[in-house]
Amino acid sequence: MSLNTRNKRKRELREERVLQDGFIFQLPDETLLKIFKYFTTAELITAAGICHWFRTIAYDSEFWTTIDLTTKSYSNREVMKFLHRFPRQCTEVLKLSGGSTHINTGKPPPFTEQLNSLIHTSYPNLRYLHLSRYDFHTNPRVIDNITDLPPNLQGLYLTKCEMLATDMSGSSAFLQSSNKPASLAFRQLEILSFENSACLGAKSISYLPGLCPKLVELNLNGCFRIIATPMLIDTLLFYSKTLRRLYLGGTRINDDTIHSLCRKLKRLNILDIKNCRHVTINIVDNLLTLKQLTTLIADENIRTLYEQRMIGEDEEEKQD
Amino acid sequence: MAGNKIKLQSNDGDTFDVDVEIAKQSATIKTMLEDLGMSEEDDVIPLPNVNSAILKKVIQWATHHKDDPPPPEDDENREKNLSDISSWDQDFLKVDQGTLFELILAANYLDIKGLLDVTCKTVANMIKGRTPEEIRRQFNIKNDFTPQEEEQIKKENEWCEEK
Repeated sequence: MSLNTRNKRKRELREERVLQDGFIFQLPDETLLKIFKYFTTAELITAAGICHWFRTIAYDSEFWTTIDLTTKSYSNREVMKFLHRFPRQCTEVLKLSGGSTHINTGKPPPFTEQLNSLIHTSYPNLRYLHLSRYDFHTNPRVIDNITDLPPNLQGLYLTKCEMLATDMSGSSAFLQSSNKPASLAFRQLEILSFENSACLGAKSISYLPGLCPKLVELNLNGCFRIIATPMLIDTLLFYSKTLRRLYLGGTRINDDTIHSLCRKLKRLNILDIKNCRHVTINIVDNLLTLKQLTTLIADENIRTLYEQRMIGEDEEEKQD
Repeated sequence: MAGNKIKLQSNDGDTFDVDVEIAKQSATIKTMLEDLGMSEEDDVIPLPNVNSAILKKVIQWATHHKDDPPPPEDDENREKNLSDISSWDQDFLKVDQGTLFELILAANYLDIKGLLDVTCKTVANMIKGRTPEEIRRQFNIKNDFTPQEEEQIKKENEWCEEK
């Protein structure tokens, strides 16, 4: 915290003739900053209502580069009031959670039009958006899609969301809105995660290359409706020039899928194929051809064999 | 050389014999010894910002924690878990507020990261989960907002319905 801020605070206090003499006022600003690091966003807002000094520290932009509202469950109403009340230029990461399932319907809350546009307007410099436990079911009152993203977004994480699939008639794909062309923000996305959004099928990601052609990371962990189809392979292979991190844990891909991926996705640094029932140790030979792989997340037997063979290859190279 | 001692002097004139390895948990003292080429036989290291009651507490803390691994650097994943204060530290920090804040200042000046972390966590715990009035009473903080500012704060707190 700069000297200016400190002087400003002292000046403010002098003007109002309020002398703070609690022990805590001996601390330098840096230390109060350190203490406030342990607070959630909601706790920072409480702290901002204590006194001028606390307010200056609690609203320091350092604490607002990441806003995480997932530590407690908030209703859509509360989240929208929050987004409206606390717009920030400095915010780069926003994490929202629809929270526990709705009492009456048993479903997570819907992702509404207002949410969609408030995120955009309140946080114009957002880089990473996490939305978990929202319902994107088609519903006349709400939108069933994300139509608008902040312009500089790099990562979109949709975890444990429902109904991200193409609708029954197959006319609209998730993320792709029918009435306007895909926005530029989608085109520059580098990270896309559908982790544990179990409804997602291979068909409902086939349009991704056209929508987000620059993906570096794709996370389909826990999407058990993802099955081994040529369409899935084609979708993934499109990213051979960019993709470095691919998470397929818990999907129903098989050895053939991995075989095809390993031939083309040579830039992979991280590959997750843990808990894939149809993947066997026969694919270890294929995995060894991924020379840039630094992290393999896989079932014990596959990983052990992979590591043994890696050591074996290293030694052969040394002998050569 | 194990077992070497140095003398630390508080601002009220008391000196304390301390194992070099224990004293070196203070990055400030470590720098004095290593970079400035002070050797252990040199007279005493004066610590003009620390009184003897606090210095005694600091040495007690550093002695107990002498075999701790170095604390991790602060990083992006800011540690919000406040429940990991060891029971020894909890007992150690059952002190009046004046002492607690003097310990923080000493840890800050002596640059002892572990002690600074645990004392800051303790203060954070005293604030968490309380109402503004409770917090003000706890730390003897006067409400220095103008009525207009009060109005603004009231609005800010309306978003969360549980309050």
